[in-house]
Amino acid sequence: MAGVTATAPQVDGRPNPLRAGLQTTRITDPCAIVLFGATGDLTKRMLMPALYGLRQNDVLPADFAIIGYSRTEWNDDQFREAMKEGIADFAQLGRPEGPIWEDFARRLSYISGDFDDDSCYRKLRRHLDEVAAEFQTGGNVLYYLATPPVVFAEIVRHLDASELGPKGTKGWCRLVVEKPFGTDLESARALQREIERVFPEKQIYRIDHYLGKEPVQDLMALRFSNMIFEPLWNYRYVKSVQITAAETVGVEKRGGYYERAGALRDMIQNHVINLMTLVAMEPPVSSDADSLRDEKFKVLRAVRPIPIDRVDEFAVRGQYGAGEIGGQNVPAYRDEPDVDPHSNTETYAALKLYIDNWRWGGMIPFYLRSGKRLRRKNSEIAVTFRNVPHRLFGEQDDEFGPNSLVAKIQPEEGISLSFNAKYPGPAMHIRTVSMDFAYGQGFGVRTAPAYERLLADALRGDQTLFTRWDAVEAAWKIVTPVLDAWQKTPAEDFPNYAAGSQGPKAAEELLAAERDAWRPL
Amino acid sequence: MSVETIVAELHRLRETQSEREVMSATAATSSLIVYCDDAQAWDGITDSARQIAIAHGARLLLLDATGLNHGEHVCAFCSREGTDTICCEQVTLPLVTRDHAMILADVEDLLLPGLPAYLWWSCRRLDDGLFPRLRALAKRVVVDTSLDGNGHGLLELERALSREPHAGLRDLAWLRGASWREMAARFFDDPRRVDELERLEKIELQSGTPAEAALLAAWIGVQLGYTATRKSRQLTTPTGRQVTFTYTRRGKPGEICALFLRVGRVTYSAVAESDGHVVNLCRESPDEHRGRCEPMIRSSLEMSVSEALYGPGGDGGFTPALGLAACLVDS
Repeated sequence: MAGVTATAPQVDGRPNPLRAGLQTTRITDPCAIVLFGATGDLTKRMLMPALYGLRQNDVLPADFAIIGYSRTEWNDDQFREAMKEGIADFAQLGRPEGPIWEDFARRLSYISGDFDDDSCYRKLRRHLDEVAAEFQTGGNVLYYLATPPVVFAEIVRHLDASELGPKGTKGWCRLVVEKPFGTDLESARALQREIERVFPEKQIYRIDHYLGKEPVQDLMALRFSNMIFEPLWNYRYVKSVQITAAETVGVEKRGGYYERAGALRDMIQNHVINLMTLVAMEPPVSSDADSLRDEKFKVLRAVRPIPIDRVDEFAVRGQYGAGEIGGQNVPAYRDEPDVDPHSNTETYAALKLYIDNWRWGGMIPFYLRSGKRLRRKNSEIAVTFRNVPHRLFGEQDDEFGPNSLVAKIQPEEGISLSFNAKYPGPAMHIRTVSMDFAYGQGFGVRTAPAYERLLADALRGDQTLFTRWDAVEAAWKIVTPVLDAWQKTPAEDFPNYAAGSQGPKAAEELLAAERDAWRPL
Repeated sequence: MSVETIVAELHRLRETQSEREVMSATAATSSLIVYCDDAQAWDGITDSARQIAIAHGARLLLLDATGLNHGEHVCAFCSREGTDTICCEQVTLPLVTRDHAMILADVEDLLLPGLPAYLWWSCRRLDDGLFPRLRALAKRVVVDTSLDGNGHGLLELERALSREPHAGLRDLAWLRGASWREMAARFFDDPRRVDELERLEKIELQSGTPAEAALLAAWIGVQLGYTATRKSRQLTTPTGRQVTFTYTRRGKPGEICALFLRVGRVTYSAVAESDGHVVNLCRESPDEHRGRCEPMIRSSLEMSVSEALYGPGGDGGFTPALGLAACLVDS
């Protein structure tokens, strides 16, 4: 997490002189954090470990409180105990104990309530007042919607009706919304209308945790802090871009949700397209949130629409059958819990997109893919450059290819640049070698988990790494023809790839048409 | 062993490793020179240096002034990160049999050509004649003014910086104080308390050695516009009022364990718990006692050295604080 020079709190124009020039990552504004969906997996696995990590690393403000809100009938102690377990299991900080945990736990409280019950929101309002008095939260509040998406609008409506929204709050009031933001273009627009009625855009934080990962941010540093790459970053020198978000896991306990979502909605429309914008965008005029988001939006506007009658030329879907991963037999998607045995939901999606602007000239394919139960867990962005115009060196059987720059996002985090070099010896054999930079060791410092980074940014009021509405809408527009076509025509070949494989054959053919191939998983 | 023999041995090591396909990545982005004169600290310093070399891809030149090593030693050490193996070269040179000119010549010959060199000077004597000569080879230098145990390192470092203001000198005693500077600032984030800084009467510090205490007190002084005269433990405010600095030796060398700021009948205290990971902050007055605990962010030795040598650019607060700290210890 980057150090920032603190803005000294001031009264009557007198700043704290000890703050001047001090580098700190600490959030200065006191606040209350309300987690809707506090008993869910996201809170336990990600949010609470991230919040405790922020506390352990001295990033949370001195005065804060965390309120869990969910339907489950828990009291404060049960909530604390469950969160303690979550932190112990998922925070990689050891078992929480000692004075820092005790102080943190004291600031946790819980409200059991329905999302559609006015009286529960009145209870929340009273509780927020109590918390503000006890922990000096200054009336600032961050709401985090970690619930199923179907209740997002409901919660926002009730916050407004109970004067818990920006109009009724003394300090700042922000809303963090988890993905997916809608299930299609129309539902996203409807959700946006509900939210913007209550929260101005400047107070809405649409979270995409991929954007909080260090290598994703480093992609911007790599492009715009180095002179050597940017001159090559265009249709003249780049041959193609591949963005992969491959998982080995299946749907786990999320069969019900996944049946309605599928890989295109769940991954491509948000994470993967977001990554594409970072690769393709122009340099922003400054590092402020809107300059960056303006450039990302321009990319999305420039994506050539996929003709609905030619979707098969640009998109491939797949669904996994039974197979083997890591020596273990795993069931087919249709045999997973809460999944229709005749399901038409795709667990793999691949798109080929073109960007019609000056930089990319509408001629460089951007290949996007995401799937479950694939051979290897791997998320990366690979920029492949064109071949040299004339092969001067190397023997016939030498295997060397174009240069590629790969930003590894997970499980490894780093950058890898491949280039061709002479193999030692009297003959002029050429071999592809790579230069690797690994985040885990490169700087010898801890890299904050994505949720820590993004929660801290939301608490600071920095929207840079959050998705603006215009980008969400534009991303839905890109995938809408594919969603429509797939909905109209059920897949006849499902399941069409075995668990533990590279994905469906049709995906290989999608690239073969361009004389390209997917990077192996 | 001559330098030529050492270079030949390094070459042989590379070839051997390459044949065995062990050395998938050979680190060669910088040279890290480490000078150590403390036999007790040698193992810890060399372990940390190896970790830094692996992390930053450095050839490691260990200059042993302890007398523990009697011959030159050349080796490669490797670290496995996932599927990658990264190997670094290490050369250990015993200094007892070499004069300064010889040491310097050998080091120069063993530096990776065209790549930056970094110096970790782990020695209590900053007035050693070898120090400025090695410093001249390095892009950045890290020392620890706490090592001498009496604060005189601050005076030496101040002299060195005044002679070469752009020498890229960093002090571990200053870096270790970062969390304490943050804690001190935190007391006055409450806007109602800012005025009390104007009436500060006494800065009391407890630490294992005086350098880090003097640096923290001096930093507070610089932030508040104080001045000091040599051979006095008094700081003078811009209005001419005197503020007393007191130091009590307590705890481990190099570590601060408590800070007290006294303003009339009000005392602000930051006291580290025995494990050093938690600090209890308190504002105490006749009618109020408000305390809370805060995590103390502590870096390992290798992380501190790594940050000092390879981390982001300098810290503008250090040089003025060093000037004032030198006045406080020069008594």
